[in-house]
Amino acid sequence: MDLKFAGPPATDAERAAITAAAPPAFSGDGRVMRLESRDRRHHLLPVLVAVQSEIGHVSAGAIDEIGRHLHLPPAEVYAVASFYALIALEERPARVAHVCDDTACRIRGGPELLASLAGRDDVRATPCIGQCDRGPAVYVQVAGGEDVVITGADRGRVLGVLTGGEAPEPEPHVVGDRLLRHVGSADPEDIDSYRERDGFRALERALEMGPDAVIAELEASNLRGRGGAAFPTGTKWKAVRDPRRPSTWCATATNRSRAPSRTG
Amino acid sequence: MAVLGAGGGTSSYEEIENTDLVILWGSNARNAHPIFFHHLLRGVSRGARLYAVDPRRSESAQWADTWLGIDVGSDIALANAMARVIIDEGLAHRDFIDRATTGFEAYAETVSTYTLGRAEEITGIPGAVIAETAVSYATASTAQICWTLGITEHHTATDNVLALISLALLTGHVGRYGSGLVPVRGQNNVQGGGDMGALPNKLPGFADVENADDRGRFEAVYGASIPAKRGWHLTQMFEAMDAGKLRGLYVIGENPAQSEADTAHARRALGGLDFMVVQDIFLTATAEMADVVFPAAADWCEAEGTVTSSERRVQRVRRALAPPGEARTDIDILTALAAAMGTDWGRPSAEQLWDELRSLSAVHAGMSYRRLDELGGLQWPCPDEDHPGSQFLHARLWEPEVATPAPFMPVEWLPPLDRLTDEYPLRLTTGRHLDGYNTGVQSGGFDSPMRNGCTLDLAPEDAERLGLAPGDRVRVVSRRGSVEAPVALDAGLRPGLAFMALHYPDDVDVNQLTLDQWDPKSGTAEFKATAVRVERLEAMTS
Repeated sequence: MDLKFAGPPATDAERAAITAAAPPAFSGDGRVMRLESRDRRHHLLPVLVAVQSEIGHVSAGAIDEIGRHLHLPPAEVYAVASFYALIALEERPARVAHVCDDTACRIRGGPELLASLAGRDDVRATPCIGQCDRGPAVYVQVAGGEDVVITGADRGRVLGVLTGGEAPEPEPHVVGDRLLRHVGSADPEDIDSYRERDGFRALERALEMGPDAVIAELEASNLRGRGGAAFPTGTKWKAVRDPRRPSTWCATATNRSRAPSRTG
Repeated sequence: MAVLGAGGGTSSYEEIENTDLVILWGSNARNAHPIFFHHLLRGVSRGARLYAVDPRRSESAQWADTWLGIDVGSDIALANAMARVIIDEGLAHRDFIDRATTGFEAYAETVSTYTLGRAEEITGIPGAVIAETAVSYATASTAQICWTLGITEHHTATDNVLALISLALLTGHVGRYGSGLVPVRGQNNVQGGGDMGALPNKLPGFADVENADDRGRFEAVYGASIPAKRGWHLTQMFEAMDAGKLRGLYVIGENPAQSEADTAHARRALGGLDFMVVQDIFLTATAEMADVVFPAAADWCEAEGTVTSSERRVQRVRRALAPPGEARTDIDILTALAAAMGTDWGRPSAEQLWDELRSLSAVHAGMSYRRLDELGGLQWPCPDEDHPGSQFLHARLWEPEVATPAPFMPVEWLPPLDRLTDEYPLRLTTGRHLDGYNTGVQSGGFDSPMRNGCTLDLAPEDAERLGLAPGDRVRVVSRRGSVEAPVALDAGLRPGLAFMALHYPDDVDVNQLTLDQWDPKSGTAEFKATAVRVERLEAMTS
């Protein structure tokens, strides 16, 4: 497909992982060949994840082989692979612990846990892995096996998994904190369960107060977006209060570690 | 031309970017027509389905949705079998056939013997695939067939082309936007050369040498008489040289000592001439055999003029450099020669000569230099200075009353002439690399990191069977001669099929092997089908 690959050949194991993760482009024989799918770009991340999971890293040979298999230039494969902390471009130990030191785990000992494991080539820091109520959290990549999540981690548990031990039982969800008080108690899939626990009370209150009072409250609070611009939320809400604008808006889902700053 | 009345591709490059289906038939356009291939790829990226018919899974075929790896020289069998399917499935465009064509019954009769079973035996392609290709082509909203030397470098060249044209007539895929027949021309301005009458039977603008009225019009303007009988084409000229009937030759921008099939024979013929003049930009192998050499200016940068592309577009070429040393423009040389022969043409400019041409060629009449400059080129026919040029040809076939319907010309398949035997068991076909150009005159003078020189490309299975590894030197032998080359493997070749590029005649003179039997109607030799055997020399590592 007019791509040039100058890297080393892939190993048999790498080739097997790649072809298992994405179907071949062509079917046929020495007389007739059919292209099954021309657009193969959407296979790239699943294939990279598969190779990382199977082999433990994505080598230069694997990058080229993925390019061959998906009809992508090696530069494009490399660009996507190099974006993700969990995709290793050089050889790593078979088990690697990623210790979260993001906001929620930071206040629950994440940095201290990292410090206690300093100097090990199989431990690194990671941004949030979505266990904010059960920190400090650790994500252990296991080449050729199932990755492991350790919650309420300590040095002993991390070393235990790194040296081949089983994943410890996950910590129960934390109850009793202000923001997370319903975790482990309300059924997240049952709206009535949530309403029984004063769910949506704040919304009802806001509706009682009315839009202008809510906006005034937001402005007084100095709440800001965390998308990088630190934009004042009250100002944003005020901007869309303009009666000349449409009255129905769509709120998009927000990212994990951002405050809801994208709703309009 | 005999069928449709004009010798050019029917469709513009823009149309292939917007068409529904393309059959690339006997063309490795990615290597040999990279500009055209860009347009094709744009069409593919917009959803056009691409079928590639080629014995090799070439660089172009790798882009195809479906590649049909036919046996060399089995194109008519494939086309006729496709036609039979289209007719049997009721997919023939009856309205178009009735209004715009003649001779359908005889054509249907001929193709009826090309059953899927018979076609599978001849082409090597499963009948179901042939049928599917036929149905896809017939039912596509717009479709183009694009071909080049894989179709025309056979002893049945003309018949091969007629078979493709018939498919378009059968399905109404000609004469409207997006549908058509495109012979992709191999050289910048080879289209223009023919359009300007550099053909033994044509005057400029497709006028016929043997037509008295046409001749008369030209004679009146040229002030000289034109022979009433057509001349010899290139292969007939070589026959005449062999017979001693052609004693002198004036060669302009051609290198027959290396580009002809069966080079040894060609050189003997050229060597036997009384007198040969060569006019070229490089001292080619042919020039080295000449009695007189006229060094010529390079037309694309050292002269004014026009060129015509595969989509019939005439574009201006402007001089950017003075010719070096004693080199002179072709116009200069020819005018000086005429003066030495006693006829003074003055010092006509390219534009003056072009305006004279326009007065004689209706299809070019509206293409003044001013308009070509302003518009960036015009597609013929362009009959007057208000005419915008013609994007696609043969729209007349879709009018309610068609004054000159197009005839179906039924043809039968014949196998290649250089037969495969135990002594010559391997089918060799020749072709092109991206960074080489024909006999390498224009492309061999500079280094390219992509160039690996000439190799005998074998299927991995054949190499293994013969005990050959990449780099091993072998002797390739045909009934006419032999050459030596290193082996390379190509997974796009199936067992029994071999490939060599023709760009390196000073290194490996591939045309020593090829057969110079030619199509009696077109004069093109059967470059694409040679029977060879491979003999080991010594291994690279020894």
